[in-house]
Amino acid sequence: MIQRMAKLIVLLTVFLSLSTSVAASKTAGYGWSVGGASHLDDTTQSYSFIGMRLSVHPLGWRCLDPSAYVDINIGTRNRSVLIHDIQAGIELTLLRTIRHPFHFLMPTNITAFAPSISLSFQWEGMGALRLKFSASPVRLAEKDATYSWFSPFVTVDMANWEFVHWGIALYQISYLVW
Amino acid sequence: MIKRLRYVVSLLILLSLTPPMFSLANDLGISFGHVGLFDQYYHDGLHVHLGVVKGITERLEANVFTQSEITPTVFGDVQVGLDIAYSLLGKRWDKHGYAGSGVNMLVSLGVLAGSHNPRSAFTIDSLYVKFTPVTVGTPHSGKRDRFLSMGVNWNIHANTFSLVWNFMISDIYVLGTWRDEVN
Repeated sequence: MIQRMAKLIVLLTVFLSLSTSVAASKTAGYGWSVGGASHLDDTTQSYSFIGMRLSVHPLGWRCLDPSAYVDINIGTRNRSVLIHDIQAGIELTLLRTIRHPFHFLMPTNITAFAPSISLSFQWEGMGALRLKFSASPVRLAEKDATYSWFSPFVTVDMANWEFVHWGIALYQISYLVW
Repeated sequence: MIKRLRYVVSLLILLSLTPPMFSLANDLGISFGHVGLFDQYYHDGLHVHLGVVKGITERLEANVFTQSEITPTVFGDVQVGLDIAYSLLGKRWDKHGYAGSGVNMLVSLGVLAGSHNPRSAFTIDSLYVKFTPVTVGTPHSGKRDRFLSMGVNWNIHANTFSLVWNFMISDIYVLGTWRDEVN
C-alpha cells in the first residue's frame, strides 16, 4: 500500500514538473512569410507566395536547436491565386548569440542572432514531390519570436534529382504562442 | 543592364536632392519590403521595395525608392519612385521630443519612372495613390512597419489602371530617433 502511494506521488510529481516546464517555455507557434521563386526551365512557372506556418520547438537548445514545421504557401502564378504548395520539414538553428551587428533591424528589444538551415518536403499540385533546402543567414530571435530576412532556397525534383526552383523568402516571422 | 542601373542610381541621387530632402524635420530612414504592381509589365515573382524615407513636416514625409524584380530575373525590371505621404492619425514626428503616434495610417501620392511603356525607354511611367491602413512604430522609436498598403497606379502611356500593393515595408531610422536625444 505504502509502496503504491509512493509510486503515485513520484508519478504525480514528475507529471506536475513536466506540466510546469511546458507551461513555462512556449514550444509551438505559427508564422508567415513573403517571397518569390524562379523556375529554372520555364519562367511561366515562376511564382510569388505568402506562406503560413505551424511550428514546434521542443528543445530550445542554444546551439544546433532542431524544430519542425508545416507550411502552406498561397501563390500567384500566371495572374491567378492558388494554394501553391504544402511543406513539412525541419529547421536547425545553428547558434544563438546576442553579440551581432544586426540590432538595427529590431531596435526595440534585445535580439539574438540565430541563423538557421532547413530541409523540407514540398508537395505541389499535380503530385510533384520536391526537396527544399533553405538558409536563413539573417535571422534574429526574441524570447518568443524569430524574424528572418532575405532567406534563399532551392528546390530539387525527387524524381530525377534536378534543381527546379531558386527563390528568396523576403520576410519570415514566427511567434511561439503555446 | 549596367546602363539601366546607372540611370537608376543617377535618378535616385537626383530625387534625393529634391526640396523635401532638405526639409526641417530631421528624421531619416532606410526602407525595404515587398511590392507588387500588377500592370501589363508585371512578372510573377518577388519584387522588392528599397528606398529612403525622409520627414518633411510633423505629418508629411517623402519616400525615394526603387522597386526591383528579384525573381524570376534579378533586376529584370527596375523602377524608381518618389512619393509624398501624409499621416492620417496624428503626428509622425515632433521636433520637441514627442514620440509621435505609435499606430498610424498613411495616404501617399507618387510617381514611378522605369520602362513600363511601349518603347521600353527609361521615362516616367505612372502616377499612383496609395493607402496604408496600419503603420506600427515611429521614427522616434527607431523602426516603423507599414502593413498592407493598397493603391491604384495609372500608367500614363497605356492609360490603364492597375493595383499596386505592399505586404509590408519596414523603415529603419538612422536620424531623428531617441538615440539622438541620448547623445
